[in-house]
Amino acid sequence: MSIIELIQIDKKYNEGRDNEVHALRGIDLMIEKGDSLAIMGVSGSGKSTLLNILGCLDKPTSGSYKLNDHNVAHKNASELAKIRNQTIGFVFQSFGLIESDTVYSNVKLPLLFSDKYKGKEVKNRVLDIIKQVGLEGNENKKVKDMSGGQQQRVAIARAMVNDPDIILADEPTSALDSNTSDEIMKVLLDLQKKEKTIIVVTHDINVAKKMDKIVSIQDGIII
Amino acid sequence: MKKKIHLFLYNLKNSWLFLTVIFVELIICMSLLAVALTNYLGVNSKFSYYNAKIADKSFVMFENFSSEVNSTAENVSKWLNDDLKSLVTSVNIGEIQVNDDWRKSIPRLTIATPALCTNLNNKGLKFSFNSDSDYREAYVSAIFKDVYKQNRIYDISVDCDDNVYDTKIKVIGYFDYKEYYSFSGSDIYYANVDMVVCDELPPFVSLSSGIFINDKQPTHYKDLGFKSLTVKEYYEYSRDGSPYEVYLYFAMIVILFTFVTILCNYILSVDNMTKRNALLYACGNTNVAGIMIEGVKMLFAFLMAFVVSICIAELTMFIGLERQNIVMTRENFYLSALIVFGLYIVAITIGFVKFVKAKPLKVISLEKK
Repeated sequence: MSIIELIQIDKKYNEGRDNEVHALRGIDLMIEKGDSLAIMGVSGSGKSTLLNILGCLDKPTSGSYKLNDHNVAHKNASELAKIRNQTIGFVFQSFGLIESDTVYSNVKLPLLFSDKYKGKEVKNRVLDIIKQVGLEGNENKKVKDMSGGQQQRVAIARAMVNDPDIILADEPTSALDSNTSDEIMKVLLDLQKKEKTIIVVTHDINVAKKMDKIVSIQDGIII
Repeated sequence: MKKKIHLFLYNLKNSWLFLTVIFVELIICMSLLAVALTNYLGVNSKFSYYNAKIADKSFVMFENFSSEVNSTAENVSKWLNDDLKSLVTSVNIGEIQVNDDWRKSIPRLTIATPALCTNLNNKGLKFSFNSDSDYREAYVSAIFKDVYKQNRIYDISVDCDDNVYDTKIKVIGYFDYKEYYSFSGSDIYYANVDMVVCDELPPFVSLSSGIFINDKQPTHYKDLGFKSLTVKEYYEYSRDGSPYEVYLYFAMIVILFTFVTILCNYILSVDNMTKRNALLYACGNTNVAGIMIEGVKMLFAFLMAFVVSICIAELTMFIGLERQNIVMTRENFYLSALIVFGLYIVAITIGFVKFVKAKPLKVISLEKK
């Protein structure tokens, strides 16, 4: 069953102006539930724009985007926010953490908007996820005092805490050494065993080869 | 709504240090400005008697009378050939003798000359003087409303050393104890005065100063041995000698410094705020909600400071903090709060606009264009 279905997705920035950019052109993409997918492309190819659309961080200019069989392309900001919270977890290139906060505070962020966990369940869930990524005992540690690999684990924990169906990772290993990269990829791929759909944007072929499928994008078109 | 409250509390928690500093600074600014404004406006009121019509009249001080004769009204009258009819002055002559059961409240009486009552802008004291009348008109402090009823006539007696001032008074109105009326350098402070009677001066009262509303120049009085100058000269001399502007300038400098620091700190904190907002956006918040929460947070900081400042102001008014009989009023406080609020909005606007304009995707490095 397809969890994600993109049909003729177009994205233009500054449409109608002199500096118009056609970032995505007629993108068709289907992703099955539980798959792992790597999106590869050079800088400026449109891969991050595609990730934005997939993650409901941005809306396409035209086309259809079905997520879990619901057309989300033209939903309003509040509805997209809800989808982001419930269905998608993000892992950012530069970890995307609040460095002055603790591990616990960072991981808990998505639960501010969630109905899934209430009261004491929130704390239990956060601690459980921190344990799952191998950071048990570091809940009260400030993120800025942690290594790159540990920080990325925190980012993954935050992406997972609300039990989303999809994990989107933008260059999750670019800031890490090869050993740590392997560890992080292992954590991500372990999530696939829990029936999570993993989508990774990367320029690293070694990372891409670990995924079930690879999609290459160039000048806004899947090649 | 519950989620919005959680988000608001999360936002408060993450900027508690910055908000605490703003909170304290706003309280200091509001309180400082309220005191400075009270002093400035209050002292300015001391000179509210002054206008162009009396500018060239003679202001005379009797205390420096070079003659060996003392400055009682009787003696001054002799030296001036009975010319006290044009004298604008007021004299506090003492406490009204009351029955034992009024022991708790002893009214103090001030005599205002007929020339005072009719010639100056007397802020609502609508006296009329008739020397042939059986009684003299009086305004009474509102705190004595139950004792002195309007339009009734009372016998009044005041002991002045070896003399006694006896008269009948008719109460024609009341004044609030917080108001004061100032003229000719000798002030009727309602805070210290409970009854003002329009009457000619008894001969035994001692005069300190007054304005003569007649055609005589200050030189006339100087020749007689009094210290005299025009009302305009006295007004300018008094204003120059009053430190009232210093407090206001001090308050303005402190406030300016405070708001520059708020402005700079807020601008510097925008990057962190924007990043946090962007991450919350990715986690399921809307950008609009993030901006609104930030705006509410900043207004909340002011509101809390305002509430505490009100308490300080009310306490100050309750204690009756007075300096030269200038009492803080609620109007002065609210005016200062309004000014501080306006400055606060200006101080945070640049940072807030920068925050609003920031794009979440750009901050978390996902947006390319």
